[in-house]
Amino acid sequence: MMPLTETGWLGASGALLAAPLIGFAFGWFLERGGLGSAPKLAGQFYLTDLTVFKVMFSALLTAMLGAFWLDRLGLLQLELVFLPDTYVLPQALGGIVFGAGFLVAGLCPGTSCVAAAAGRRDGLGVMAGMLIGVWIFNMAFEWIAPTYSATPLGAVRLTDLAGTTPGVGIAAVTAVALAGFIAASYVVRSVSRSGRLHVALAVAAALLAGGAAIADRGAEPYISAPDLAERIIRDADGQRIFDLRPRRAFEQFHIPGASQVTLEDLARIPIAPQSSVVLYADARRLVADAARVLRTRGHRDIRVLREGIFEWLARVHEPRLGVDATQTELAEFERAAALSRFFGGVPLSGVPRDDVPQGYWNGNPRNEALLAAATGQSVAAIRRRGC
Amino acid sequence: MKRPYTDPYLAGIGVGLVLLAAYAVVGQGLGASGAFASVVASGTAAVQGTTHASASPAVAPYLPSGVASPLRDWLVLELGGVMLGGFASAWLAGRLRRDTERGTSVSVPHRMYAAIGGGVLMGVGAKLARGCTSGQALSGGALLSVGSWIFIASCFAAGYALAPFARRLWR
Repeated sequence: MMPLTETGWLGASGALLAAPLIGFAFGWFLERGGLGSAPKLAGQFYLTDLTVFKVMFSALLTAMLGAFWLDRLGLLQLELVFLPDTYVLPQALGGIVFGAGFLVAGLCPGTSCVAAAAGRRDGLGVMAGMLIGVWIFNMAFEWIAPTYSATPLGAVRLTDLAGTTPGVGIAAVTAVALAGFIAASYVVRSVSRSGRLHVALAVAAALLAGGAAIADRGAEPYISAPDLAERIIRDADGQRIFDLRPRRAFEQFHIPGASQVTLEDLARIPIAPQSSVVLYADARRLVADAARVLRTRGHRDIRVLREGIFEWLARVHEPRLGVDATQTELAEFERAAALSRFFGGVPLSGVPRDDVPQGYWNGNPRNEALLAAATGQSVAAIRRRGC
Repeated sequence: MKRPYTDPYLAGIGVGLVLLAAYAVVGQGLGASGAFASVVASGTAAVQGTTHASASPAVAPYLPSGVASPLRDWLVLELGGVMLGGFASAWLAGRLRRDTERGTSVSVPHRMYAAIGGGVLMGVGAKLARGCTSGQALSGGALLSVGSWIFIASCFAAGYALAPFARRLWR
């Protein structure tokens, strides 16, 4: 049902109407917390006033835990909420430039508006500076562009990198933040009258976070393509592999033993309750939805082939060893070559570096377009050979 | 009379609930720097003409007819709301006054130079990082976006590393 705009409950004009209301509440709480005052914010960098840290991370925890639980209760489809793309280099550099500006200005863009609204001229100054800074960036964009689009990782979460469930990631972030809050209480010793309230809030956060880790126990952890291949070879009885891609793609090429299904199929086809299920698709959202469908049917042993058919091709069916392969790649290749021959694939060695996309070996692609092309190429080649 | 500030953890929970509401209603987080980018883009279009401005890949996504989401303008309205909310809260708490807040040994002109200069750096940094403390650190951070956490880490690392050199500004 939520997000309202994404599920059609709210039109574009409704969203525009909500904007000032949401903004009003945002500005209200920032000002209430004292974040409209530059010296107070700057105190964060001299450890004399940790309001910025406290407000920011309690807000982050609230939204993170709230979003997780709304999603798990079926009220919010978290996969539909916009997840920004990651670009490692520009975001690290941008963070450094931004951090320097934050220190000098004593206000960040949002809080500068609050300060200005409360009558602070320095807030207006920061706002004016922001406009100039954005204008300079636009003017210099041609020169900045290569850096701006360098090192793309796509829309990726910390839990994707760590290979853990969202619940475990949330529990870890909560634990670190709560430890930070405790440390903060030692850095700036305040005569706080709300000590008991703080303890209660921390316990609530810990419970929600711990609950998240437990709720996600056994929830769609990943299985790597080589592990899946070995499981198929061992012929683990009671293993079901479901391909959620369109029928055409399935007919072109699929993992041996997989059956093509839609979400509706998954909801009704007979699946032995104790069988272990492996899912793969082109879109992560589809996999998450499928896992949810299976969980509501009582299945617990659900695993996901994270990069789908691409990972299968790269690490099992058609491993490619670059001419300048590293030791790790060589070791992976030896394992993969044996699997590849078993499944009637062709291990390729001495491949030009350009034909071995980055991320090929850990099944962790970095450039979606390149990988889609590589997958298409491999599938076409396999079909020519008449596999 | 000036009222004391709300407990920072409670204010933070308030901000967090607002962020959650933004996720639930419009499927995206809060933002601030994006609104500045929209304003600059509209200004550029007004001065140079829309066709000329749209030719720049840095400006085009922020123009209403551009390629990006129509919710870009959402940010401008939201930031207008932020100013109203900040004003209302400051007014009711007796904190509304014309003032230039600064370190005790800093003159008003010097504070204004620093405010503008810091704003310029943040403008460039936020564009480069594709978001600021609101849009990137908070909104993306709560979704565990890798880039958001890179931004949080580098932003505070830079702030603390440079803090000793800026001490005069805040003493």
